[in-house]
Amino acid sequence: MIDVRDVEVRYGTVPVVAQASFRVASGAFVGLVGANGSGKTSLLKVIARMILPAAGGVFIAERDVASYGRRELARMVAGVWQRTPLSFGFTVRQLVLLGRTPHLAPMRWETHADQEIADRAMNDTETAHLAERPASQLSAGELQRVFIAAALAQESPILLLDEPTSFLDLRQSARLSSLLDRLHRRGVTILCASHDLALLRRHASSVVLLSDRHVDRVGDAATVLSPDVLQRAFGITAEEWYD
Amino acid sequence: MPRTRHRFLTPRALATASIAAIAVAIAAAASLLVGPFAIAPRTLLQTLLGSRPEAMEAQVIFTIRLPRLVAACIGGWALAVAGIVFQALLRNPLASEYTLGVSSGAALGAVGVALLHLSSPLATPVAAFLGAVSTIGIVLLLARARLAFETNAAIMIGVIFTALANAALSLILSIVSPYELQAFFFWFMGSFAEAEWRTLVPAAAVVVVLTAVIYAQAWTLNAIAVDEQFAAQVGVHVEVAKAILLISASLLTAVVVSIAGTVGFVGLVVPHMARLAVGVDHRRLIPVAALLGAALCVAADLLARTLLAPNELPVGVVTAFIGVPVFVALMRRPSV
Repeated sequence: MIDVRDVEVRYGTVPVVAQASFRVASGAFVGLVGANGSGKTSLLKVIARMILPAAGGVFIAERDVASYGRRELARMVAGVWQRTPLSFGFTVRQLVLLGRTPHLAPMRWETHADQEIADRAMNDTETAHLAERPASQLSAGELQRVFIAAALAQESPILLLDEPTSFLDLRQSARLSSLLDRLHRRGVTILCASHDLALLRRHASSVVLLSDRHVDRVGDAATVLSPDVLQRAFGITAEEWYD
Repeated sequence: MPRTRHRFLTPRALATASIAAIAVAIAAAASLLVGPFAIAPRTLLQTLLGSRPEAMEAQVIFTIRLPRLVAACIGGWALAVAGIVFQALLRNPLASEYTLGVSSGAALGAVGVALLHLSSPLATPVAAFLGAVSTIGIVLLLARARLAFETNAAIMIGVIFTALANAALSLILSIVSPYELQAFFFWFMGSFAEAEWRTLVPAAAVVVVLTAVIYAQAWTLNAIAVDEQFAAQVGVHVEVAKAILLISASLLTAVVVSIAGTVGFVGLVVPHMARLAVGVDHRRLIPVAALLGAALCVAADLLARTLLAPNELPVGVVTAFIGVPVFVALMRRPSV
């Protein structure tokens, strides 16, 4: 489904990711782990074509992402990203409906069908009761579910997640965890960058470990997320780990 | 099943638009009737219907008051729409053509070209546009140098640029002849008194076209106002849309500066009033704000020429005296 081939990312002259290659099978739940600055977010952005790689490429459904139109790509790949704080009083429903953007013809606004898809996305993410609330008044966990609802309204087969559980308390991240599980069972292909190893142990069928800007290893969650592998990747000792 | 069906034309949006339209009509009627040469409502109607073409009233209405009224409508409309665009693109309620320095940049361009005494009628609007576009370009580039698109930095740089542009304008005013001084002063604080049909007709046409261009991007504006990355994620060509919208809003500002100089606070305050009334969806926001902007400018212009009659105030003074208290009151409310 997603084929990352020898991707290299640079910001100016600073290399952020070098020679990254891995594949994500259709319907898989793949975790992306690595220390801060190891290039997780950059890789996700390359896949969503928000930044262009300096070398290599990403293929989605056997097609180079560079050959997709913006709207066309949005119908294939949805994402939930780190965000700037909301500035205006958008309601939850308005945010979720914006997920329908790639399906709307220019100057043709949402139809009844789009409304229903947005309603379904809100039901799936347990945000329907918040529909008319200003999104800026929600808790971090509620807002995260709202943006997942917008991504679901996009009806794309691939969902990219960038640190979905950061800033969430235990209860909220448990709720998010079960939501991701439901999406995975429904056949959504998920690539999730996270420091939340518990989340990835529970859901990820395989994990890509980035260290020192390279793909260190790719394998099943149990192997890659084992203490000795992580110790090396994060540069910590066994004592620190067991502390 | 969905509980409520979210509709685009809510009763509230229709009611607000109607109230704004009525406000424009009332302010327009008042500004045609009131002045040193008082005109009775009945006479006004007869004159507008063309039954007294050679009367003194017809002269006053068609060559003085009506062009002025049309200029105020165009000005308020254009400034409000430009203000909405700047606020949405920067996701900042303090953004407007005025606070970003775009108005001052346009005025500086217009004054600069006026010094050259060019005879082309396009010289002023083109110079104003170049001044406006280069200002927003410089402000955003400098802001981008500090963190990617730091929107508060953009406002700070805009305010500082405005101070610089005003100093440059003052410098020019202090070296021109007394005769030119009078003409140049109007770029500073704005006035609809100089309005002529010759310039108003093309200005109105440009404003209508630009409003249509911006309105076609209303949904895109919604997405960008949430977050640029989010907008890209849902399939918006963010850089292309931003370029179209920034250029359109700068052009709108330049048109207003060409016909009326710098009229501040309209683009800052009116979007907030409109958002309070109809929410953040730009499909409703743009028309409502355009009407409110027109109503505000027509009313402000009426006050400008009647408050201290026979002396006339610059309209920018009136919009500042109205705009600042309204802005303070609005900012005290949560989430405008």
